Amino acid sequence: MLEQKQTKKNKLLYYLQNKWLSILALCITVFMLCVMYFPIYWLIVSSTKDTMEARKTPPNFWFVPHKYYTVCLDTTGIEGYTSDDFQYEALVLGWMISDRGLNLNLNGVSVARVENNRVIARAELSYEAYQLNKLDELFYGKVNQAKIDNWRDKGNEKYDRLISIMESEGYETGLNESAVLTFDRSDTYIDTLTNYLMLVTDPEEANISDYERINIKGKIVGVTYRKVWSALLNNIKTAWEFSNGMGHTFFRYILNSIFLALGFIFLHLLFDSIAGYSMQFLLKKETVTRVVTYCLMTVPIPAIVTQIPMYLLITRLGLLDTYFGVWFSGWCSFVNALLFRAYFSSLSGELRDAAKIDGAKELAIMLKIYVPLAAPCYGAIAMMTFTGSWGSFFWENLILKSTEIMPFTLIIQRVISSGGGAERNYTLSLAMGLIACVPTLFIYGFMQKSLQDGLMLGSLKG
Amino acid sequence: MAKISIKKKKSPIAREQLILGWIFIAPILFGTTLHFCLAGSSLYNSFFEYDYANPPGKWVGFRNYIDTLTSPLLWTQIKNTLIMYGWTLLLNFPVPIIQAILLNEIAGKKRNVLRYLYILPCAIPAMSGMAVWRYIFDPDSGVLNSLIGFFGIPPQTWLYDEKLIHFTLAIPGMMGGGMGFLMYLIVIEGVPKEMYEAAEVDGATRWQQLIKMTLPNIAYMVKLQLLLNVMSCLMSFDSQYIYTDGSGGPNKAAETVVFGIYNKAYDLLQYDKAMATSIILMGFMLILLLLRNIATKYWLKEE
Repeated sequence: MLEQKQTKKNKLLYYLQNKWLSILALCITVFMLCVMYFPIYWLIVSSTKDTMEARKTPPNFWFVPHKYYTVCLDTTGIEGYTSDDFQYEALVLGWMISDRGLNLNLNGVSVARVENNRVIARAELSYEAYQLNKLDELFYGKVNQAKIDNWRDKGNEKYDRLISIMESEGYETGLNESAVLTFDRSDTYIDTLTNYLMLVTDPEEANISDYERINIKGKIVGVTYRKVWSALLNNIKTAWEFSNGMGHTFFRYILNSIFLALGFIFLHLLFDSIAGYSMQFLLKKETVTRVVTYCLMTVPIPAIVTQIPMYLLITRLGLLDTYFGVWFSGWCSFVNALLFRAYFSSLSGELRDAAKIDGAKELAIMLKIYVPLAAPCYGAIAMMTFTGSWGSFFWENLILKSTEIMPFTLIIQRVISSGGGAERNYTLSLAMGLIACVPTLFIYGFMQKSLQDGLMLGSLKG
Repeated sequence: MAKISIKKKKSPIAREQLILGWIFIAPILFGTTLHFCLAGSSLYNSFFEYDYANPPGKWVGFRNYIDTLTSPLLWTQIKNTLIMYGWTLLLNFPVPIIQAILLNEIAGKKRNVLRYLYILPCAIPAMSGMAVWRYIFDPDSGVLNSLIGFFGIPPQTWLYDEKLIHFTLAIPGMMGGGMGFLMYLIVIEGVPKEMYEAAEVDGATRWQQLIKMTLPNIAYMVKLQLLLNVMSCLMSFDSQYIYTDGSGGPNKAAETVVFGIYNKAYDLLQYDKAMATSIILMGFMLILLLLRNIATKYWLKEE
């Protein structure tokens, strides 16, 4: 028995001694993969969050359903109550209910009216719509007023502090018949009570200015919210419909990118393959060496040296703001020609001789015999060109100026840099990034084999 | 014995082949010649004060070069470039190597699955990646600040902090994977298995095999990649532009030389100075290449 235990222990020790590196390597590899995939996971999760949720710290690591507020207001007996009144009062209440201080945690507030003497205002306005100034001027001020009223009604000490601060600043605060706190309006600058509220909640950030006054006429009967999971796709819908007022969808930009990529693929496959074929089969060996040396002399010249004159040339040719300008900047690549040549060298040259004996012309030989044989190489180079063009930014940024023909990379860059400070709209750019991943994932999924070849060739290219 | 030259009479078939050969190679030759002409034009125009409407403008000799070399902005940019390259070298360069070496140690079906998982993130376009990283780096709501807050480090302003921005720009590259990783994996797998078997017979453990056999065999690839890395990093532009919204970062801390050239040429429309700077950069790179050639010859001589 003892001997059996001994051998088992020895076996275990032997196993560990020899396999520890493998096990350690596995652990570290899995860790590295997790780190590598985190941004992708984060892209998917964050692009579904609404803007306020995206600005929360610490962030929620899983999908967060959007909250839709349902507010029940009793408007019996109130005269002249229009649907607009309704809209803001429901918004006010929705905001008040979330009650997160200055974090406008709206999470989807909008209004639908149900006639029943009891009116139900259902929250359905997304924060993005709010941001687009649909109800901005009215809402902001009213909401904060409602907040203050809430403080007053609940006897919150913040109310007293607010009043004392404002009175010390020289504002006349008083109560009118509807028991609403009113302030004097000195000029037409519409701002919110935010700054005063900040005085009370975060004194160092406060910045005094003037205010608008509001009322809530309806009587609150009840408030609930429900978590809506299907609203997760709202961001993607907004990104899809993003068109900067031009009336087309984001798909247009993806089509632009595809069109650019197809142009590049066509140009590369045409010019590089015939150069490779010519170097392998048609020209003499000494000529080929001289050609190769000549073309490889461009390698030490960094790309920037030719960029500016190329840009000036494109401008003078009148190709600015067209796809031809972009294609002109990168229509041929000598390295691809070398790759084609390498592939052609693996094909037999005797086919040519046999075809010539049969009386075939050169062009026919190439088109009918060698091009079909080199199909994997064509596929791989097409793949590589597509990938390179899909992510390329520099030349398109320089040459294309009008929004309709921009590829999606430029649009995402403009969305990223357009928001500044508090309005930085991450969810829009994330949703666009997510939409943009789909075509490449599609291609990677369906064209795995030629992609592997492409990567192999690309890795040889170095 | 005297050489008798025999003139071969070109048959129509051979002539047709040659003509077609030249036609086929003409586009590439045209492209290369255009490339040289543009580079030459850059050199030529840098000696003038570039007048857009009436090129090339007034001759000013070396004034553009002197102006550029004496401007403190260029030296700030050079400093920025070097710091940024240092961080890239430290953080981004070793990662694919380590990943490939570690993957090589794992055997069996797991290996193929893991290899596929390493390559798959190539499918994400670079722009989406930059959008996510912008979000991660956000000072108010980014994950990175939450993460380091977990360890007790106060939140940083990452992309808006002039001391941190070089380090920050190197972080997205730390993920590794993709084509660079594949290259190293191919080289590592190309090491002949018989060597390993012989070493195992001699009693070397896996760790010793790794250190003494795998690493020296990939050394040539590492050197090659290092050179390519230097050249491509000195010319990188996209990430600096997009992460800093086209400005140069806080207090111009993220501006590299290439960024400076871009800025001068397209924002300030000072084409002449931009071309001069690009020629200076090219000179710098040629010096680097020359140094590398000398160093390689020296090492080879030693062996």
